[in-house]
Amino acid sequence: MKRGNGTIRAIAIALLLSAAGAAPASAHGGGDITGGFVGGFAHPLFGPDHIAAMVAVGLWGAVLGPPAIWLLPIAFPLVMAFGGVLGIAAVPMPRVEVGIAVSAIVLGLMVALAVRAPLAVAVAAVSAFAIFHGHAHGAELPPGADAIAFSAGFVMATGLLHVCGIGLGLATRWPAGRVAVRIAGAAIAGAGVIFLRAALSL
Amino acid sequence: MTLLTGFVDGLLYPLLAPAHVVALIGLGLIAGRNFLAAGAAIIAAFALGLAGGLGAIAWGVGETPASDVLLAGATLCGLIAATGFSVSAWFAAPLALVSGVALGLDSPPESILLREAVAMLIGTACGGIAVLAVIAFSASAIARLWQGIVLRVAGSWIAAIAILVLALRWAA
Repeated sequence: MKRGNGTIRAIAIALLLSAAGAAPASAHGGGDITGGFVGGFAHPLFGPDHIAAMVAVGLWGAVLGPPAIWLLPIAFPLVMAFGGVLGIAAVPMPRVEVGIAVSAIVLGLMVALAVRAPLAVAVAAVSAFAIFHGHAHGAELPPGADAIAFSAGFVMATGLLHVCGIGLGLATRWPAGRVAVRIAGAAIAGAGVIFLRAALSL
Repeated sequence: MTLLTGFVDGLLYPLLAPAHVVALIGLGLIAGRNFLAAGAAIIAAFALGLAGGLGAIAWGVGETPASDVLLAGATLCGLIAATGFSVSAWFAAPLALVSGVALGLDSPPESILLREAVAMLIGTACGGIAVLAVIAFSASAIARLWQGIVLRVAGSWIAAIAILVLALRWAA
């Protein structure tokens, strides 16, 4: 009986994921490939500062445990979309790149120091940084982009980076894993310092 | 184009239009979370609205902002799913009705021949209802998985995508 339920669940997940994937795969809005799903998916992946911060969100969620482990990755895309709207509307936001670099430093330090912040503080901090990331994505959107395919691509890539962070963060179940996660946090914070220097020199 | 190919084209149309897929997933997520209490009402209301929207298209209604309405509905559905609330049928059914009408109005047939156009519209109705039912059933099957986290994450993604697309359309 349990095996049957598991099979049904597996099929259900596969159906839902395939339905989600149908949007980008069948995009026919007339946009070119750069502005389509591939372009949107690759957009966060070609920014090491974005990657570092996204993975740090997942890692910090794993360090904090439930409910933060899933609440942070839920809050981030929603607030990032709000930041994206600001970027698309060309609402000026000073020092966006600095904000992104600081996000990597702060989130990396949270992981490295295993800071167990209250849930509201963690969500607020992650949400504040999400606005910077969303603004950058929105402002850098290539002209003529196939809107839905691009948006689906970059939201999914962002979410999958969070999942990567959570996956790595699950290593905190073991003593050696906890050390490894904290080292990863320190590395992200260190990378953030490099990003910050680069952003300030612009 | 034969009647059969017209029907099949219509059947697949809800899966080929990205805005429709986003809206159907959003609606399916909230239907699936509360499948026993509200699922049937949501699907029925959507079917009714879809029939109305397609009927309006058949009567020659011109261009409407249906796609924007569809995405606004998807945003609302995504946000509801992300919060994890189980909405009642009284709230969800009107939302499904509006989404159905919008999807119908946003599905004009490509054929100018009456019989083929009707076949496409019937196909679109069948396809839209079937896709929503499959997504709702799938969502209900995984609603309790990891305390419904999968549905909440999917809801946040759907809402984020819909918000961004609406912003892009309005900025264009």
